[in-house]
Amino acid sequence: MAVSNLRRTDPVDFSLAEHLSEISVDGISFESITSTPVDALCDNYPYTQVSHRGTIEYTEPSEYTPGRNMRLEFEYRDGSNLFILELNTDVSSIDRIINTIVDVFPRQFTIYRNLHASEDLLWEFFEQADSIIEIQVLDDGQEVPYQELNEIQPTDVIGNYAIERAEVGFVVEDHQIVVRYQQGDLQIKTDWEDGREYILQLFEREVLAEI
Amino acid sequence: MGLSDSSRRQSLLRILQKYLSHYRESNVTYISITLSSVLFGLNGFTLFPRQEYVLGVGVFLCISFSLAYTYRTEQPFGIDISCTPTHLVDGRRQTDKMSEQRDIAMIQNGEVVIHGNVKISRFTDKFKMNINTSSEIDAELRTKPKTEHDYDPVQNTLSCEDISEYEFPLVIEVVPMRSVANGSRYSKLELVDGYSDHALVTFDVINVGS
Repeated sequence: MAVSNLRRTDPVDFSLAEHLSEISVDGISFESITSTPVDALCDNYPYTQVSHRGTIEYTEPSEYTPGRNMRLEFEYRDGSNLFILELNTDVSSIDRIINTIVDVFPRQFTIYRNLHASEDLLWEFFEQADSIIEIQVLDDGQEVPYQELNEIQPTDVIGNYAIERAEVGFVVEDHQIVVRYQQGDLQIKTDWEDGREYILQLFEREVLAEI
Repeated sequence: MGLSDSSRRQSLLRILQKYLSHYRESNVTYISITLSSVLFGLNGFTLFPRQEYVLGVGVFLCISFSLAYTYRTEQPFGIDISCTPTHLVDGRRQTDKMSEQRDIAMIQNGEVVIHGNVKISRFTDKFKMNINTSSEIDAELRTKPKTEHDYDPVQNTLSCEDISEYEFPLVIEVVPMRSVANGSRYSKLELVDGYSDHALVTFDVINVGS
């Protein structure tokens, strides 16, 4: 199952697809880039935006070997300024891939390390779930289940503690969707072909629209 | 979170404790006490008319100056941050107690995550905090703690103009900008009050990687 690594970008005022397909340098090239308007799947979806999707051919450098070639799917959503890297395999450093993309980009394009989503809105996103499998929060640097903090009611933890990772379940039109979140990475497991898009839109609506 | 009388009292007590703690540790306190003692001693001699009044004003000025100087140089007193470096151990985040006790943070496996808890006085209506690093490392907030906050990742500043949440968590990811071979193993991370430019938290960051 792919892990979607979500990052916040600064807005760019030009068509990303036009420029990316021209890039092919040592270690990285972009292929099959398509731009399609995003159709709203969830109610009150706040964005009218275009999704630019494509494939990155990336050679992961290695000190002792010629490096490992890999194909990574990416998506850039120009309304929510979300850059998503789909990882089907373990990589030694996501930051290195992101830095390579930023370096070869023809104009100033900033992809931040994190989403900078509001912690309280993240809690609201997980509260939308139909079932909570686990939510681990940080208590004095220690990872603890949110309902097991000493002398603190779970209702007082919600919205007030930093989420380290969470796993929740959604049921949409009889489809099961399991969402796993860890430090800005989202794993979406579902048998529904629109499941990933639905969760992304819910995430954009609940978490990113208010930034 | 409401502004109850008990939470206001706790805030006031915390501010006073912090202020007095800084005052006791300040060099200007020793100077003012020494000067005041000298002025008290001089009162035993007859030197000039109305000397009790003049020396009393002198003592008052000494103590007032030291209190004002401590306030000016050591503020803010209305913001408390406790921070601890953390690492992933067997996939679970755990506190690095050894580093915390030495005010250091060690970059292992390409990063160190610092978890903090911020308490702001109920008498404060705004705050501004800068995350400053030396050039060898970069630090970025993982999340914005509250919706009412503003985070500028370019300036690396977290601020709020109208506080309604007086306690919130802070998660800072610290990563090296270059390898130890091309840079330095030692660097600095500071959380600085944006109004007074005084450091609220300081960590010596050590990159234990290669």
